[in-house]
Amino acid sequence: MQTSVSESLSFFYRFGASRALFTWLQFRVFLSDSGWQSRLPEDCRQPGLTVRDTLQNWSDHSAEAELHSLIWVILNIIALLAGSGAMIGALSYSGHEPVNLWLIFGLFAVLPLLLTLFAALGSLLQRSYRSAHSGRVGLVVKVLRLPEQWLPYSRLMVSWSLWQSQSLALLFNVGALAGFFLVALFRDISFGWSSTLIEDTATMVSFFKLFTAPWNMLVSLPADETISATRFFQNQGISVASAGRVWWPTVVMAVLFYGVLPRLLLQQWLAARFRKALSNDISNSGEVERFLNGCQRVTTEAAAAVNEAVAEEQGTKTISVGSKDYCLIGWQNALQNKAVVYQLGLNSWQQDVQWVEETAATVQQPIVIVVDARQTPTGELADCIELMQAQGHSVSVGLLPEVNGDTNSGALRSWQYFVHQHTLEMLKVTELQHD
Amino acid sequence: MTSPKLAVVGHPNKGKSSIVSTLVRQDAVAVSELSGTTTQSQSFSMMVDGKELYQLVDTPGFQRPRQVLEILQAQTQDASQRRQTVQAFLHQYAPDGNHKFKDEAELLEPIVNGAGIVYVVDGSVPYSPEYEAEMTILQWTGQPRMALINPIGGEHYVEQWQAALSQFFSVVRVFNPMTADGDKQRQILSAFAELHEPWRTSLEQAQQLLAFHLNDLQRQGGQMIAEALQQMAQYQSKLPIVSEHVDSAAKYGLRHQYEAGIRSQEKQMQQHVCELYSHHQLQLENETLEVDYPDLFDRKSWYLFGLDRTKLVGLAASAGAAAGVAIDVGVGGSSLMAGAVAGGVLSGAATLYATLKPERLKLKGMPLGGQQLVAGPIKDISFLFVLFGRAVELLAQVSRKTHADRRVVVVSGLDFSERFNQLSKVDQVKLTRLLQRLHKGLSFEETERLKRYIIDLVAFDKPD
Ligand SMILES: Nc1nc2c(ncn2[C@@H]2O[C@H](COP(=O)(O)OP(=O)(O)O)[C@@H](O)[C@H]2O)c(=O)[nH]1
Ligand SMILES: [Mg+2]
Repeated sequence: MQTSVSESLSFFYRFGASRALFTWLQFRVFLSDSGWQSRLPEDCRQPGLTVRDTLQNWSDHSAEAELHSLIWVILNIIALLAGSGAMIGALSYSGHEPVNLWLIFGLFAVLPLLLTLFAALGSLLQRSYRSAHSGRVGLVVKVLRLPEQWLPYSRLMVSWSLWQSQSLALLFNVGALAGFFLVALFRDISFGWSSTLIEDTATMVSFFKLFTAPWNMLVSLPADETISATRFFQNQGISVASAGRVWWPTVVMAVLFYGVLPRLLLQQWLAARFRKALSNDISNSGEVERFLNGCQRVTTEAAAAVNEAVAEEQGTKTISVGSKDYCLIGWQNALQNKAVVYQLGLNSWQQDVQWVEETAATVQQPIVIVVDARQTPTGELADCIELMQAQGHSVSVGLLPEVNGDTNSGALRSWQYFVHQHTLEMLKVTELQHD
Repeated sequence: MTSPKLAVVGHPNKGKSSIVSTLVRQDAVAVSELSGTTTQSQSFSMMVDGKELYQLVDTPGFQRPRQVLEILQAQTQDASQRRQTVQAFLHQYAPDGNHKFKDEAELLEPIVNGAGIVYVVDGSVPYSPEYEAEMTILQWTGQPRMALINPIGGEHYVEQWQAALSQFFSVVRVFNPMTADGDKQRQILSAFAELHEPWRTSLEQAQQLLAFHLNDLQRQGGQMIAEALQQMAQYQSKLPIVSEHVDSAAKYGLRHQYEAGIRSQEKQMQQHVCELYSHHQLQLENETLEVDYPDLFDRKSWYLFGLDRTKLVGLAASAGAAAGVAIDVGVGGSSLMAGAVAGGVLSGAATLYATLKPERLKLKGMPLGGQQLVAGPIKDISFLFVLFGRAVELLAQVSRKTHADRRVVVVSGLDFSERFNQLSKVDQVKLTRLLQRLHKGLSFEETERLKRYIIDLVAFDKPD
């Protein structure tokens, strides 16, 4: 069974993680305004919608927050071009000399690897401190022209921009690889190594063995003789010019294994970390729940107006139970047979009507219907009173004192409301017996 | 398959609307002190995750049950026709007609159309035969039915009612819509499930979903507060200063700006918590949040709040000591105790100082050579405890409040210290440390821990 959490996750992630972040922040900004419920699109309130459809209806009506795609494309192109440009430059720099392997390894394998390690360390230590990062997030928001209201959600923004910066760095390395192939396609590149300090080739051979260890299953190192043959000296070129070509698979592997792959790993890890943070926010922040509650909120015509209409009349006149000036009639169990001539509401309706028609007609005094505040006035009581009024009687309602003080104010006010509605008088009845 | 539908019926003013409100978790159901203000039936859906679990129909109360029963009795000879007779009655007295049995027609219609019956009585007033007419009419509809005894003003007559009701209803339960917690609500759902076999599976599932849902809400409420507290603790107000001379009016103005900012953030958080729990119309009464906290110690409210200065200084010292240990372990553990002691003393002194001295406004250089006056973030632990305590109390109250209970919620945080003291000493110190770091922003894991503490504190029973 799908929960609202899984449904909302699938909604926000429908166009990938970056778009998920943008839609999510847009959603949070929408919900942060205190009057959001009044700005809710009507079709979010339709009954019977799934969570996903409700969210979809919301997003159909909200301004799409997109990453300014042009800026983003330009940034990506710059990264790619910078990578390939650097590689083309490095390959062309040497003029007629062979390309120095040290330079290529240094620039496109060792340096990227070090930078990746630093970035990884930095990301590990990053604690998402808001204040520490607000400057950086502000910059990201400005450069990418994102809405300013997103600034408070800096933790997600930091996480996202770390991921994105690694994507750019990855593109740089991929660009370098592409640049290599571009040059290699149209030019014959010969590689060589050179050194002032290292004299014997054996050291070089063992260094190269170590350096190429990660991929020696795939591409084998040039033979020892080739290694020594590709050593070159200032202005002398290589003894066997064609031997320099043998190096290219090793160069490609070095860029791939030290430049591209670690970066890719870091980028993927940061992407996963960002996704986790975003999913956590979507499922735990309560925002979706809040939104759904607002959508499902029903409105009813309030009965509040009636509440105001009731006067606070308590009944000023007090009569006692034994009084001979009034005819006391009980409503249901009030007064329990004592001192009332009849109890209405206990027998069948027909019997009550009969009693009113036969006995009540003969009563001389004003009639008081004695009620207990805990009882509830009903239409049937009103009917009885109307019958007696039709006979010409003056009828009023006599309220008994509270029993244990446990009457809720509502019951009392209900009687006041009843009396008010039927324009009756309210009396207080005391049970004091004075013989 | 359509979800189970039950009509909540009974005498006027016995809490029918309240029961509907609590069981569908919506505060839009009109509850009125006055009898007879609900004049039309209205159906409400219990929704979880965008799915309808069941429907309850709020109905007007019986106004003329004996008359209706007489009409019904006059029209039927044998028991097999009772159901048809009720239908015929509805035909004659349609709910939208103009006659004196409008209320009865309104309440009988959903039942005749297939809704189950929940008959509501008041357990604080004695049973009397007048209710028999109502129960007989309901019996005649032949629909699955149960009774709920609502102890509006106490439980004096509950037993008496149970005996009477069990003659007419297969299931009788006591249910107080004002105080029922999630468990009680689920028990009622399982009672509903007993009523009618075809509903059993969906109502049992509804029970399960409700439990998950309440759990989710708790987690989300904790997260909401943990996040909002960080924002508040990091809040700053800034004022550019033109001249070298900072006048007191500027300071005063900035302080008020800051105060207003913090208050509105707190208010927003409160609104969000209410919305999370679908208490859309809940009225909150905030005891003023004072930002002028040097004086806070002189105020009655502060002592009431319970964590007096000695306790705070002690806590802060222990939290500092904990920090010292962490540093020592990091360095190699050589001066474990020395570090702990130094950390404790420093931090304790800092708190004492901050609580005695007014928080001074800081002057900071601005990039373009000017200066700005900055208020906040507040690092004073006492103030952070006030913010935290108020937030936890709010969540505790709102999350427990039923939707029938429309009373104003007072946010003061005064009960917080009693909750706080239910934490173990170690947790008290750990929590203090989290609060001390709030103004820097917490890491993901720290936020999780803070959330855990909030949920735990909210779960503690409120000391009466
Ligand atoms: N103290 C208390 N009051 C209740 C309870 N149930 C309902 N009430 C109050 O009784 C009055 C009538 O409730 P309402 O739900 O509108 O009853 P209805 O007319 O049957 O729909 C309202 O003022 C409620 O606040 C309860 O369990 N305890
Ligand atoms: Mg009602």
